[in-house]
Amino acid sequence: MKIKLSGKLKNLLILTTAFLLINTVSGAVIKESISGKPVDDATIAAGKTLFTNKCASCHAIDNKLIGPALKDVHKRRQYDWLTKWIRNNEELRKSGDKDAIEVWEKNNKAAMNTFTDLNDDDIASIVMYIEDASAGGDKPAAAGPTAVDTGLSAPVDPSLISRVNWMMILLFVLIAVILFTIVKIIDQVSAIRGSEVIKWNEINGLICVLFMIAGFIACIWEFSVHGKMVLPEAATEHGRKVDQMFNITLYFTGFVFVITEFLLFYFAFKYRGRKGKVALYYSHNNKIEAVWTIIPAIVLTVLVIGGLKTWNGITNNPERNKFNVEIFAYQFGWSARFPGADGKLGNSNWNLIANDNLLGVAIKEKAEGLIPVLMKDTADFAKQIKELPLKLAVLKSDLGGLVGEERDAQLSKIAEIEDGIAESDLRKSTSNRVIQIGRIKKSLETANEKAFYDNSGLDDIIVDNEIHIPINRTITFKFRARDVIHSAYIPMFRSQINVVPGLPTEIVFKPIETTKEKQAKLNRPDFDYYILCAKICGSGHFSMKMKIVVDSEADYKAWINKQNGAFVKEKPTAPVENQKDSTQKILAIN
Amino acid sequence: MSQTATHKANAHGHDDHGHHKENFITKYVFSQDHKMISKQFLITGIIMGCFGMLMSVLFRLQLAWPNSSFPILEYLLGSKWAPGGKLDSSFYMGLVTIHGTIMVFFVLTAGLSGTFSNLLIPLQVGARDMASPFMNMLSYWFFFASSVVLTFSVFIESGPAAAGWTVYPPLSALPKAMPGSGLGMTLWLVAMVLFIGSALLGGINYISTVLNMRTKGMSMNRMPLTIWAFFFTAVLGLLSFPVLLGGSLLLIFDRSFGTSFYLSDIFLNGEGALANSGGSPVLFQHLFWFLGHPEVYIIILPALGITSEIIAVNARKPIFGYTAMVISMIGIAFLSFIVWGHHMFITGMNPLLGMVFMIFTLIIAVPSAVKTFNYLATLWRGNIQFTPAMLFAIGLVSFFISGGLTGIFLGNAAIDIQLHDTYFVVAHFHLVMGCAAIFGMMAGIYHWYPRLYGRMMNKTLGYMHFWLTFIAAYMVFFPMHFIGLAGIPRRYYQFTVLPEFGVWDDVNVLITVAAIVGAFSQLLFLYNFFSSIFYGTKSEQNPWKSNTLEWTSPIDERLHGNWPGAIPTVHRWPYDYSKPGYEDDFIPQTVPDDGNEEVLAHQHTSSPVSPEKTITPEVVHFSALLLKWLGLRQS
Repeated sequence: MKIKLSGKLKNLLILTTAFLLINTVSGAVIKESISGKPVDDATIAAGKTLFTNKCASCHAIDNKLIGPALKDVHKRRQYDWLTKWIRNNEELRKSGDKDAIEVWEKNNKAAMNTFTDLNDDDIASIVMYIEDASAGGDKPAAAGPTAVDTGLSAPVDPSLISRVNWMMILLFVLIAVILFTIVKIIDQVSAIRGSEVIKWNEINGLICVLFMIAGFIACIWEFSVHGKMVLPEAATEHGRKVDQMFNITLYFTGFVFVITEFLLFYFAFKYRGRKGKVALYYSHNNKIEAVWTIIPAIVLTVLVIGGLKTWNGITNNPERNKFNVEIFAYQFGWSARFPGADGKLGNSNWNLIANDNLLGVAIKEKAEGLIPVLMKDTADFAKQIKELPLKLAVLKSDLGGLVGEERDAQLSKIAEIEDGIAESDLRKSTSNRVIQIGRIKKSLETANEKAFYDNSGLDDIIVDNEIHIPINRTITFKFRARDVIHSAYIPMFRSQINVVPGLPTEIVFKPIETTKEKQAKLNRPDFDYYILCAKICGSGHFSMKMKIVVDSEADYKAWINKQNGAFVKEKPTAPVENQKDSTQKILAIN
Repeated sequence: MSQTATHKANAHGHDDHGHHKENFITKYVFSQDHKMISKQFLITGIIMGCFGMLMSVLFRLQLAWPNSSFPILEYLLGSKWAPGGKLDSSFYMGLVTIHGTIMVFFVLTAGLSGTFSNLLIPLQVGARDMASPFMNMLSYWFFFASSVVLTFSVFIESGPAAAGWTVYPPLSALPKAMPGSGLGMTLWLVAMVLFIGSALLGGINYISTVLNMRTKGMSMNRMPLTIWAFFFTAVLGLLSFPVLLGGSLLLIFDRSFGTSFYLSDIFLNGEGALANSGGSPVLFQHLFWFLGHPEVYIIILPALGITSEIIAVNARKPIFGYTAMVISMIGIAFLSFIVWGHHMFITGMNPLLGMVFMIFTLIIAVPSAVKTFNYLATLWRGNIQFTPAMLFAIGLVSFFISGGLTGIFLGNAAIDIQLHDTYFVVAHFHLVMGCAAIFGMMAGIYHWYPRLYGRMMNKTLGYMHFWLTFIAAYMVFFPMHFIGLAGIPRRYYQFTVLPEFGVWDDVNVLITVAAIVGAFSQLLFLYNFFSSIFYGTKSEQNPWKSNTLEWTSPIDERLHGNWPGAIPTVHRWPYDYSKPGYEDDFIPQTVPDDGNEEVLAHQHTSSPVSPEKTITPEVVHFSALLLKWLGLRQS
């Protein structure tokens, strides 16, 4: 039967089919990201780099790290919302966006860092990368679950795990039953015989000496296997001395370890109790006490003197402040600031930290521009305090429909307002802002102003993720912390110092091996020097890192001249020399 | 208090001032009897220890298998702390923190020192009870309250304190820096204040009893080494815990009252610039470690004292170098107050201070070495009876050697730069505290169990417990030295920050498996401990054939005042084991000198004599003089 279609309907049908066909075909051939851009490998790669540098310390694709898992986030959120959130989630939340506030609350109210410097292309590439990774593409390196393939990547059938678990439990129970039965038998036979069935002294004595032999073998194994997995040779001058100190100490302590552990277990075996044996009543010998007091004292004096010399060389380096780089630690990452063409690091203060001035550098315009932002905040807080009763009413009225965890969360929010916590928090925040505004104003008005807001900070170069330093020069890293105590630990340099809010610290060192040289020596082209955090600083403590590349003088110059000043748009006209005394002032403006 | 002051050491027993009816509450709950209090400390310590050990197994699971999901975790801990069956990183930090706090304070201080000081001081010095039984009871109940508060803090909504057991501000001072720094941290501080109260109340008692209530003939140099150890421990605690209390109070002020003792120059992401200015986080570290360092000696000294006693009894030999042991304890106690900065070499404090602390830290290694050598010399030519207690004592010496030697690396400031806050430190302190000290506690439990409960613990289970735990403990902590030497920091949720850290994944699995085996081995102990209370073989009066006074007191729960009649008089030191010319290989302290004693150049027999009458070697003479100057010697 032929179906006769009207003209209009026919057109519609043709159009619809064509439309569907084109979309299906194009969908198969040209995929589109939710950003509207066509998916291509170059953008994904760029997105991966950005993701690794900026997001990976807190986010993984497949599981929650410090922030939520990002798998399929593009399916859950609109692109516009994502862009706003990524760039400045604080502003989005302040604007009252419900989703934003929900995400923040669900994440223990831990705020995400802001990334106001990301442009549209950047964000599009990041999202594209997430889309690709969610679909099974390349995962971020060294940030999510194990970067090295340990063979655990294939998901195991959960029912198999369950069966194995039950079998292991059963095994344990059986072993326990067997053990107890043995014990019972031994005890009862001993009771019947009236004497010990098993010569426990003999057995334990024997096991002592067997343990000793096994233990020494295990030590040898440890040193030869795990001992080879420790850090490669130090890449700084003082680092080599530290390692020397370590080795000398190891020789002495190793010697003592072997002798004393041997004697301990050997005596335990040799003098195990037997019938008819009598111990020797020997209560003291002051001469030998003197001997084994004085000899350790001498050895330790040697170690102390060596240690003092090394320590003094490290902490009292006359070449400090010849080449300064500021390293700024925050939850959860590192930033670095180079002095720029004028050779001076600009002054800084925590009151000046803002989204466009993440390190709080003393730049007059920025400071002046910050005041209205802060005043808006205080106005916001006041508004929120006024609106609290309304918010409470809304929460209470919504309560009825909720159950379980959601209901509990809602009840918490209600309690927070009713108990006055919400209000006191807002008042505290207000007072912090007010004091901050007062301090900034004072710094702009007092006699210190010229000295503090000198223009040395304008050409400072701020770098994340990767810094370069030249070889064979004495570098001083000046440390500042934004929020809590972090610890700047550079294992390959044998350097470590706490980064303390309110207490400027520094390390002074001289790198003696470039990254390239080290990579060649170790035959590991992906080896790099890193700074890690070694003082517990919050949930992201384990993923703070920044790469340090040691370059030849020429390579370093090439790198630094490619960097832009953070607060000026042009490249530095003169090549950057780091000669002047760049002791920065961290002025207390209070 | 005035009532007890009128009780002289050798006076009438407890019953004399009016027999009062004991009910369940006064006998088992609010008991003022030091033996009951010691059991209370012990059992609470054991329960807290189980809790702390469970936490360590949980976070070891995360470290060994960071990729896997354990649905049972999500079932037990909820989707907030174990979403998808993997521990949340904030909760991981909380587990690590509470594990450390429980183990250091609630198990090793209260469970070791609290138990054995309470049990042994009156019994071994020959006193009816502690100087103030009421304060003693309070000391337990403060400890109990502290344990309850800390345990509850794990289950609150925002999570337990999570800034490490060292709780440095600003992290621990600012709730917005991490969720555990909210109510969880407040409860931690409350628990610590209560705990410090307990420690002080106990410490005052221990010191007073040792100094004032020794029985006739019990001069200071006839006391067993356990009592010397408990005495110095109590002095350490009395002088150092108040400093932590002060530091904690300042932290409470910073958290709740807007002060800035520890806070300055802080910008919190999401909150903004804080107004606090002028404070120094390093101040907290000084105050914390001023307790923190003596604290670790508070933990190890009782263990060492217990070991001295157990090795001597079971080797059937006098402890070698009694006086040297006492002097080295004095050395350790004194030096422990001036080395706290070795925890702070890289905090940014003046490097000159670092030099000072390094010198004293390496000096303190000397008395520790002397003690170790003395233990070895005691074993030499002994007649060793391998009771479970003896095995644990030998294990303690092994761990003390291993852990103490790595302390020499860390005490050297230059080397510490590289090793601070890495797994090397974790290995070091676990070997000395988590292994050596806990073995001291185990040794003490196995040895004095008959004194506590009148029954014997099962020996075979004891052997199994020892060997399994000993081997497991070494397997857990020895590889950690190398992980630290590879530059891997501690308190890391997973080893993913650098690809080269991934080579340690298999080692982490090995460590975790060993830890789980070790944890299960403790079930042997728990079963043994609790079942022997009811079903253990009844013990004889002096099962270990020991010389000390506690074995002369009948084990009868109805008996107060430790001895039914008069308190025994002491005629000799406690280490006459295998003395030539005697039938038995032990001579209890109460056995009088029959006048024919060969004086083996050790004036520990016969009554205490004034210095000029003896022909003692200079060392003994000096110690006697020193004790007299310190006002410690009854002359």
